[in-house]
Amino acid sequence: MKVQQALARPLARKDNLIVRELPDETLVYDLDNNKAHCLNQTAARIWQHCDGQTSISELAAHLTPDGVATAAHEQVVWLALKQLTKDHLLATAIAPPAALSGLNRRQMIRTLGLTAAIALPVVTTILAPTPAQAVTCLPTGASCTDGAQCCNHICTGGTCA
Amino acid sequence: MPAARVTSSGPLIARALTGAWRQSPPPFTLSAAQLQQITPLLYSTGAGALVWRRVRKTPLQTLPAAVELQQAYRLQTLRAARGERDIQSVFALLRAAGVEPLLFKGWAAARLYPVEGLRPWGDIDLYVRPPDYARAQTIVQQHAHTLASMVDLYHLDFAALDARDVEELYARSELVALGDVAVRVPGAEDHLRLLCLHWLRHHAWRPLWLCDIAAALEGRGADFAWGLCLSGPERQREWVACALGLASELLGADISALPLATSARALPRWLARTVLKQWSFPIQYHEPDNLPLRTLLRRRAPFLKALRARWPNAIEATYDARGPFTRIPPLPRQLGLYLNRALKFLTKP
Repeated sequence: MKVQQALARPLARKDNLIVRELPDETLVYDLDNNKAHCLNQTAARIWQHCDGQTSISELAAHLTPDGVATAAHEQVVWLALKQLTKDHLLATAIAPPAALSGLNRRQMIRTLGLTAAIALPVVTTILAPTPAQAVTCLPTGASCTDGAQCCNHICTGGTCA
Repeated sequence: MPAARVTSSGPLIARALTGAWRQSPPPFTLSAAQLQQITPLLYSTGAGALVWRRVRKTPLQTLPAAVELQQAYRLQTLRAARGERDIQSVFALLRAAGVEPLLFKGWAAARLYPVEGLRPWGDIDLYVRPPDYARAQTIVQQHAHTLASMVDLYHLDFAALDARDVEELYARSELVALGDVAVRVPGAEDHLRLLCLHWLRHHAWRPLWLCDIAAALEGRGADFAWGLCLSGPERQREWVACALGLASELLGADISALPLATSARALPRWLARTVLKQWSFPIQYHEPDNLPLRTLLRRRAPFLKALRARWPNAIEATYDARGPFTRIPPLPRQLGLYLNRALKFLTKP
């Protein structure tokens, strides 16, 4: 992925993504790699405004009710962009400015948490401990106790044929 | 069936899912420890998101178990969105070939819940007119690689529909908007009937499917025709009433308007007990035992386990014998079915 310089205007990826906006968060399913992500409101707001036209400072302004952003807000934007880049949710990867590039996420959070009066952006990958699909039938090879549980209705020796 | 490892999970699951399909579910009354206990079962049977919706505004919401259920809800929401694309594609493909499908269960059941993502679904169960079946199958097979969902054109539950007039089935169906596509789903009467029979055919092992029945029951319109829903062979009518009665007894579904409400409320006591015991088992509980008999004989434990796993529960035995759910537990039927199964197992090469 080509890396954009700090002065560039980030562009959210659109292709092969399924997006569902919930009241408290935004869910994104990446069809390219079958990964699901959850963006909290701050991360979602930034991502939604990444239209390739909006600068970092303008993105930061979207985080404040009065549209006046501080350096801390810009750092929040950078933190979000760093996570969005990592999860391939931007069309082009974004490299943070030198002053921030050396900081790891924990250090950024520690600094920003004290100065920015907004929730920090969080992008998490949604992991499933076990498949939870309520399919009617179990596929070949799945454990079963009766043919009625299997897609082909054949349960042999405790396994769907 | 072997004794449940945690015997109280079934009743806890019933309590956790009581009214969970409603717009405003009742207050959640389980403790943190109880929620923790049933979370793996909820998750693995697809009922996790329904319980997440009930606990999300309670002090339990920050528990690891609750967070896991929330993840289920998130994943299901996204999977539903992905699956909806497949439904749109399949309907467009079939209609282009002159085949009009009817979508049962899955999305058709999930749409009856108040929020997307509460009810997971994975396959697309379609009914087509019998003369269209071969053509539909060819089209589905040709495009299977483009779909994330499995399309099931042959479903045993449809056998219960074949006894009905196909054109009447279509005439009672309705078109529901899914994006730009109008998806044909069965009439409420046919669908509720099928959900009930399907749940019993699967021996009542999935609590989510009883929630489907409850959601379809309480979500029916004012013009719902009970006569249609309960029509057909007498035994099937009894079974439908029985499933509705269990939805009331175990999950608190409102059956007050049901013509057979009295008999539906007077269920044999063993029936609910059997269902709750079923719910205490994860489907993965039974390890595969597909080793040849002579190998199993050398390993005493797996052999006995394989034999034990063939013991049918009372619902299974009754359904298999096409029998009625009477007050007397169907032990002879269970024994007969067990001997048949065990014999097949012991004589397999």
